Amino acid sequence: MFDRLKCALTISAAALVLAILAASAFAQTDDEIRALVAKAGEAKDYPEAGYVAVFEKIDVTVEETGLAHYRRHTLTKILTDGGALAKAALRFDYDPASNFIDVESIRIFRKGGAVETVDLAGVRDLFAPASMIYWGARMKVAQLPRLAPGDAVEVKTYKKGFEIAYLAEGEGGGGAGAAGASSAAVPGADETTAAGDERYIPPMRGSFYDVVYFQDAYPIEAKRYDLHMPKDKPIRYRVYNGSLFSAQSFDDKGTHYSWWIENVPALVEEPRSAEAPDIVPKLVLATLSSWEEKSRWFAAIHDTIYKDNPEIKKLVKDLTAGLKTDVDKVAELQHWSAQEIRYSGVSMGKGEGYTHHPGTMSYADRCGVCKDKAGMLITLMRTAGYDVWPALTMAGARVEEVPADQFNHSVVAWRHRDGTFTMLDPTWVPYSTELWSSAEQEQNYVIGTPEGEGLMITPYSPPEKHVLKVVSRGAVDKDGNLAGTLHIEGTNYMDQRMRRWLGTHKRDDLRAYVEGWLAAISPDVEVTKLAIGDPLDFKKQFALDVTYRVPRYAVAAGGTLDFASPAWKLGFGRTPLLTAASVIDLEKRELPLFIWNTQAYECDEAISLPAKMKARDLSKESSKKGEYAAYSMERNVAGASVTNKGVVLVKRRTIPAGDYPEFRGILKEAGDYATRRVIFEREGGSR
Amino acid sequence: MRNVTAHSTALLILAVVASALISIPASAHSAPAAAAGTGWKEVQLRHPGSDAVVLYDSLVVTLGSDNRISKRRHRAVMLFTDNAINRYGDPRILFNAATQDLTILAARVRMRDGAIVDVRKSAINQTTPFALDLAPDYVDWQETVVTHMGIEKGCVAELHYTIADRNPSPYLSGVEVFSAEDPTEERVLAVNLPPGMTLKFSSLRGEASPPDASAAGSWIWTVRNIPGRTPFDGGVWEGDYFPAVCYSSAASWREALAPIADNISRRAESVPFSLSRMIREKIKDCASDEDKVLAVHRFVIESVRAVSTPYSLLAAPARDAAHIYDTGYASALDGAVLLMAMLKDVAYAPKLVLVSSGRMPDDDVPSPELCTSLAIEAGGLLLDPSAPFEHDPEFSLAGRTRIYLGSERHLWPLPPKQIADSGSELSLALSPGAEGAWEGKGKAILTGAFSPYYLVRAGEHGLDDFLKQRVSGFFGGAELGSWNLRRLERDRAEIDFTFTVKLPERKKGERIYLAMPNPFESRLSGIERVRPERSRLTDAIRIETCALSLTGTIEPPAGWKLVTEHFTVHRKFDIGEASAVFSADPDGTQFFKRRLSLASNRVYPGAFDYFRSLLQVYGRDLVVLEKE
Repeated sequence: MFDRLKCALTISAAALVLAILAASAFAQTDDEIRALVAKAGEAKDYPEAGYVAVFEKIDVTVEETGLAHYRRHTLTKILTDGGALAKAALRFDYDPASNFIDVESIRIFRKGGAVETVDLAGVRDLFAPASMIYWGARMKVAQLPRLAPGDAVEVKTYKKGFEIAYLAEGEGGGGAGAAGASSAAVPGADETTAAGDERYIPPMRGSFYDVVYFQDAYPIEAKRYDLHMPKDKPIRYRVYNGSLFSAQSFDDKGTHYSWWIENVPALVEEPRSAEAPDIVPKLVLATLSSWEEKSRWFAAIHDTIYKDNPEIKKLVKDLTAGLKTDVDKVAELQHWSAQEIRYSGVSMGKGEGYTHHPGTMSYADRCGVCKDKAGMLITLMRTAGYDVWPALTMAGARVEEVPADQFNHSVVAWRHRDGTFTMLDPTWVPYSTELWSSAEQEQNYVIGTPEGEGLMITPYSPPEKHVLKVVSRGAVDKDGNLAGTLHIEGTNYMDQRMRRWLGTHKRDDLRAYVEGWLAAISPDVEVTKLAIGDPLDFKKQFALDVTYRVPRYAVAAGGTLDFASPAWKLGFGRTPLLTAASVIDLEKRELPLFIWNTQAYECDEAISLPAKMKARDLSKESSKKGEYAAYSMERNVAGASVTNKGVVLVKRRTIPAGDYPEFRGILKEAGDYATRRVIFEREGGSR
Repeated sequence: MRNVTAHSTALLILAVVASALISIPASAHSAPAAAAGTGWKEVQLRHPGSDAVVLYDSLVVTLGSDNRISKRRHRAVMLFTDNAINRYGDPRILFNAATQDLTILAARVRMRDGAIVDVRKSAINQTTPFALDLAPDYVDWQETVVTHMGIEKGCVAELHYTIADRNPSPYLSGVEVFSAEDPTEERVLAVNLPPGMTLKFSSLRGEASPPDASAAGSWIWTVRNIPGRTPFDGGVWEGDYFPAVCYSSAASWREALAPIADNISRRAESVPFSLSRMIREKIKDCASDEDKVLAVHRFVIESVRAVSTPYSLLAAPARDAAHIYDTGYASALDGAVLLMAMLKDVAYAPKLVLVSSGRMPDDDVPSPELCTSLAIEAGGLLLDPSAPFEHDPEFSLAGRTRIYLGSERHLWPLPPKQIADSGSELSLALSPGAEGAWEGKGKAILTGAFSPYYLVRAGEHGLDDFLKQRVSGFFGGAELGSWNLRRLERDRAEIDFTFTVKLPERKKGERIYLAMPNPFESRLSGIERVRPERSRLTDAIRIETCALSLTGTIEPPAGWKLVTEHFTVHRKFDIGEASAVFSADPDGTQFFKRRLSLASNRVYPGAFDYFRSLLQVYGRDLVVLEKE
């Protein structure tokens, strides 16, 4: 035991020396830094940027255990007064359960040449802001002296440990439990160091991974990532979404890899763009040989936690009583996990962040994050006799084939006798009749099994499966007043949207909420009757029925009536009912548009008119097909009614920037036709 | 107002409720007891359509004999829906970790079957408020999040805690508004003072019943059966239309304001030389005192990032002006201190003014908590330290009260305004122009609250920008031609201008639909806060007492005819009057007129229908042209 400890300490010390040497190897003198700052340019060189990263360097040294030492060295030049305010205070996040950070130095290179060293005694070590996940994440916050354009901020930090991918995007890290109501100022660093390094060694001991992004919301002059791996610890890596410079060297101690990039513009901000991991140049690297290896590990760490108890046994028995098919039983069990375990996570201590809470714990707590809801479902299903396994996925972005942890979400895999799986997600299916949310279509996942599974992807789900149907009936009188009814219902994902919109809205505001939708028909709308189904009755079709009227809806003048389809206006009028129609304001995009789900919006409308009215120009039909959107609409007069029928199809959830103009064009054209006012004139009437 | 002198008393009510919640069987008449039993269905039946029912909610504020204040909050809520579970499942308790001690006395859930689930230690987590993460000087303010466990529909979530000050306070004061997002069966406010001390209190607008002061040193207000409603931010303080109580142990406003005035005066004393030099640079080209004051005001706004602190305006002392500037961020109070210091530096004599949230009580209850904003008075202007000075705030603050620190007379109500004080008139004459376009002549008269005097002077390109931006919204896209400024004063502007509207190509018989423009700066009237599709509103909306009018003549461009039907509609209620006319003169000239006059600066829920009706008249703005 002693020998092992001694050996570990020796390796650790050696690695640290290596890291320090590596860090100093590319340290600049103050004059060199001043020269870089001067060369970095001025505000006019970076329109709309408040500051520019002159350089960002990350130097990582990995030990045999997988414990990683990160030295970051950044230099940021302030370009504008706004940039100075944005950098007035700096925040450094960490997760005391898995990593430790030390702010080593902060210096200000003043425009006039002076160098000021920031007194680090003033750095505050605080609990990080948190919402829904309360695992004790912390942050260090440093106040800088007043900055001005032309100044530059140099920061050096040292961090050791590992990142839980789940939290790496800024939600902070986990911690071992609550701090209660104690004082905010906690001298965390010293305490953390004294606790030893064991907690910073990744749970998959010996492994190391990283995902490094080489573009950000601000311009970057140079970014570099150096990695020092022990001898005989190979890595797999690949660069995505662009290219990087790279170099590799080795000696008898290990291998040194470098990747870098220069002159990277700020990532443009566009609404509803695809997630950064799918867009910006990124390096993905891992020591794991395969996803199968990750799969086996993930299954093994959950080996014993899905045990039930008498209460859970009784619950499963009660929930499945009388149900005949496996799908019905599984749906019922998933509904319970989805609806009864609310999303709010507290720490269980060791293992938090990457292992499910035991089912018995979640059952008692009735709360947890996605992994805990998944763990609850696995427990229920195993109690019911099903073959079920935990799985990892990445909601909203790709998982690359290099087996680095890129997951932000945990789900459930139900294995059938033939070895195939049905994926289940209790976090994303509250208020849903789907077993797997179709907002998670074409999404990568890895199932944890003892045999080991590879990287898989959920299937595409076409829009025809997710129909939001509006049945509209009404009458326009001779003065243009409209009285009508709307019946709105959905299938699959759109059924879930309807149930969620109306089922989770505050009840005493529900009428106003629906009135807000109908404002798309006319701001003068008056809802006279409202009927909403039970959003939690999954055996019945959920629907919204509205009776309404709109005074002077049609322009009644010169013997004509002139109005547009209420049902189509509801879809194209910036309501949530047809999201795609509300996200095409930009004429073109630089980034892909991401709208989560495919959808069909279907209209079946009949509006009766006063007798002897004739359409002046009906424009009977319109349609267009594209790869990402399509529509088909027709308008007819039958007897004394005008009918509108048709469907808009949103065929993909990601629309590449290059295909966006066509996508937008089709939806615009559809909207123009659908909401065009039609003029009716009295037969033989005056004009 | 009543003055009551009495002795302190034990807070028996909390103990009774706490025990009732957990152990006493259900009772049809006792809200706390209902929570203890299995009567969740009965409670739901009593409040059909509610997401949650607050069974009991009490706040006990105590000034101890050591002059330290403690606040004890105890709430039990029965939850019926996911919406309620989301709102009550993880309550956040804000406190100052440097000066206060938070003690959680109970955080538990009574499940439907009666089982009690206490939170684990790991379910009580301290966090830094999101708004403060990059404001290190404010991070002593922390939030403790309590994650309730065992939550299910029909459960009762109970939270009971105390926040105790470590430092003594010279007096105790506060304001309590008895409104609620969910139906509340019993709401209690108890104030306790040490022996011999007097509590001044007032029921705002007289709607809260007098307190039970039968126990010495204790005043207890109990309000039962408060209806729930979803708040709608209409810009009116809730205390102006819900039962509310303010209270104070301070003998006078002078006593209540003295510590605040002292702190601010010390903090705003001076600025460092380097900053002084920058201020002088900013005002060197300003001709008048008013220009100089506004230049300094703009400088303050540019110099610091405004931090919206989660704690109340005066809950933390101000920082030193120089330090505020150095750190680059400021709370509302700190922003005011920085502005005061800078103005002092250039020899103005700024006064800090607290502004009441709503109408002040008639009685003299010195409760600074009645104020949720502040302003600086300098050079004859009332400046909001965190917002650009674009319009004279005398209008938007009408009906509220200015409270001066350090003067003999502290309270100065801002008088209400009359319709004649503010108006925006727009006159348009549209006639055929070249190449099938419409040529327009316009005249805008803006008075009182609508005068763009300061807005135009603050903008880089002045009136040209102002007009271009507003005219571009005419008829879906008009282009400004020439303009002539006839008058631009603080309370009146008159502008003539011309514009061109290019109409889209249409085939014969096709139509275009054009909404008539709104008079300039109509948004300042507050009517855009109103959602006319709503059938009812449970909150008041702030509007401007004013008149808006649009008049004009229309002659269609060549090749087009007007098909809008003529109409005349007029409605009048106590709250205002609206009319809309579209007609033709005997000579064939078509003219339109829309007018809205608002007689009050508030729309209370009871008058919403009338107000909506006025807006429906005023909103008749569609002009239809048909291609010939």
